[in-house]
Amino acid sequence: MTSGLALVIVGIFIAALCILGQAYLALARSTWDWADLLSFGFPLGAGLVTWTLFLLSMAGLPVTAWTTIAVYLVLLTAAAAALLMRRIVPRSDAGMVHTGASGSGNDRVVNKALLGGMALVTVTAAALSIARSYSTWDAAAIWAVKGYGVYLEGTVRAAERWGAHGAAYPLNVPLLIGSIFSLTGDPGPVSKVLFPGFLMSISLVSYRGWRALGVSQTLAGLGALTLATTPVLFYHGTIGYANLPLAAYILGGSIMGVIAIHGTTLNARLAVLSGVFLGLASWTRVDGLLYGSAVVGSLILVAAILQGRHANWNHIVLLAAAFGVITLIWVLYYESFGAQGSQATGAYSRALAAWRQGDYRLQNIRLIFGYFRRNVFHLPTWGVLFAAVGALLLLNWRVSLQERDPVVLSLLLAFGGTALVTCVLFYVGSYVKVDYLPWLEQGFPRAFFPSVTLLVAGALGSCRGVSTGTPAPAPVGELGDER
Amino acid sequence: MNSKPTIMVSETLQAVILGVAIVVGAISTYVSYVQPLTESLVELGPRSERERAAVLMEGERFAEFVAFIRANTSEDARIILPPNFPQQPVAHIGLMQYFLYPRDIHNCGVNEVEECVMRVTGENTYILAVGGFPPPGIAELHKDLIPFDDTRGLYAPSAPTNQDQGGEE
Repeated sequence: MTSGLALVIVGIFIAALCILGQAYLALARSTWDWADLLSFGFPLGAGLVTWTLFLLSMAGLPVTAWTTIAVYLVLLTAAAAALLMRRIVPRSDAGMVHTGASGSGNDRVVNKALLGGMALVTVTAAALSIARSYSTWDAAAIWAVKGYGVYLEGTVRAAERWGAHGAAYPLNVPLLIGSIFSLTGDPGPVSKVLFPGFLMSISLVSYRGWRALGVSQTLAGLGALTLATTPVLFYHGTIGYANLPLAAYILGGSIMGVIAIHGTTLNARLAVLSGVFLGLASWTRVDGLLYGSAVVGSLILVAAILQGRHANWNHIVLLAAAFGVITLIWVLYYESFGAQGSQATGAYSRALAAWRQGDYRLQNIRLIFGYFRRNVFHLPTWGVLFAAVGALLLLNWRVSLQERDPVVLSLLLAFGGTALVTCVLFYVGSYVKVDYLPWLEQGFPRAFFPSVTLLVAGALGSCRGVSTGTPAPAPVGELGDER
Repeated sequence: MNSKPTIMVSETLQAVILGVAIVVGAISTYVSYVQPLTESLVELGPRSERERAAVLMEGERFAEFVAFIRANTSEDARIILPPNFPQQPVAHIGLMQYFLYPRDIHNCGVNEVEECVMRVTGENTYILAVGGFPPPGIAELHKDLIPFDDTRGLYAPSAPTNQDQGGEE
């Protein structure tokens, strides 16, 4: 197969995943909005297909190109039937560029420029991603080769034999890579176009979330482009690691979660979908379950402190249950087949043994924070993202903190919780890593993706008081609200 | 009356802050990643995806060695790597599985190198010769060396046998 034809097929495959995710989102929201296609639709569709394939493979179904297509069609048919029964039809009046009467001429020019910028970033990342192939260690030795192995042997159990660390790594990304490999022969390798897809998804999920929270169109668009042009995020849109997909699931689940819990439109299905997003984070990287737990914990904490018994506890329980079910199934598989090859389990055991003997290595905590302090202002890594985010939070602190805005506080607490998880993981890792500092320097920025995207989400979320012209936060709308 | 202008200025100011972040981010991205990677890729010229990946990851000689192994083994071959201690790319099962896909890749355990090499006598089993592995005089009993350079090569089966018990991971 030629590279051109393979690119066409992968384009169709990704569009199909977007439509599938969009269909389930439409079911949750009771409305079909095309603008969700590339934001929430892509990661959701991708995760639903790979998770179902995983479950069916464990039940004995062979993993092949044909079974992947069959699984996709069954999931899509089920969603389409439910949509038809509920008479939910596509809407055509929403999009990244909102051209309704509310936007001035200047707004439209600015937003078209932002959309052009987003397209340029995505196309550049996609071209570089494919051109450089799987030329980084983890991308080749873990994520890609596990996918190749699973589709070669026709079972997810092949992940124990293919690639590094046995079955300790979740298979969302490998199954996506493997499915494209099996459909196209991957001569490019065109499967790497998945990663700029997740970069774009992070930006557009943020944009859609901010708009629903009441942030102005211009600020939301600028925020989305800020994320897409952050150097280390862009870089990861080209190399093929699972950190960017993980951040997309954590961010998507968090934004959906705050909307489901604090929104004006009560929507239990959106709460479930939020939990599914966070569960799919567990299905993307081992540490996803810790980051997902931190987000769920943050949502519960803010609701309990600010709203107490008046909080939307039904939705919180639904969210936590959906997250818990997916995560628990993965953990059971991990405990049965993956823990032996797991770096995490080994590091935890070593750390635990050391703590029992009073070896706390507190200097490593200082090392982590010292490195973090230096790294956040490192231009080739983060640009001036942290400075910009800090400035936004300073400008809006009165609206967000004094008015106890639950949305901003939830997102910022989720940032704090996930950041703490990252620090703890690196602290525990210090007990097994010989070259600790290089490992910290190489791994910390990418491990920080869930936190940094939540921080940006919270900082831009704090701008929502600005657009209302009042010193109080805007009410939280539904996804797709354009105000 | 006072709050509205303050908020207008605030929104413009916040847009400017984000605009600066975008410009700095885009320039940093271009200088740090886009430009150097584009130059490397242009320098590489047209190559297969695995060659490009191998050159970018471990350099030209590694890529040539991988191409040499692929050229001298069939896709259903079993290839035995040295123990991955100390760690090196040619001894890493996951990495070599990627570069030599779909071949069946194993390596010898660090504490049983000689036994492992003695054992892998299968008619489609090859042994990578890298930096002192396999120990001299053992692989030659059932394999012929195809040299790649002074220190590397591939032991290929010299004659068909009925036994092929493989190495150990």
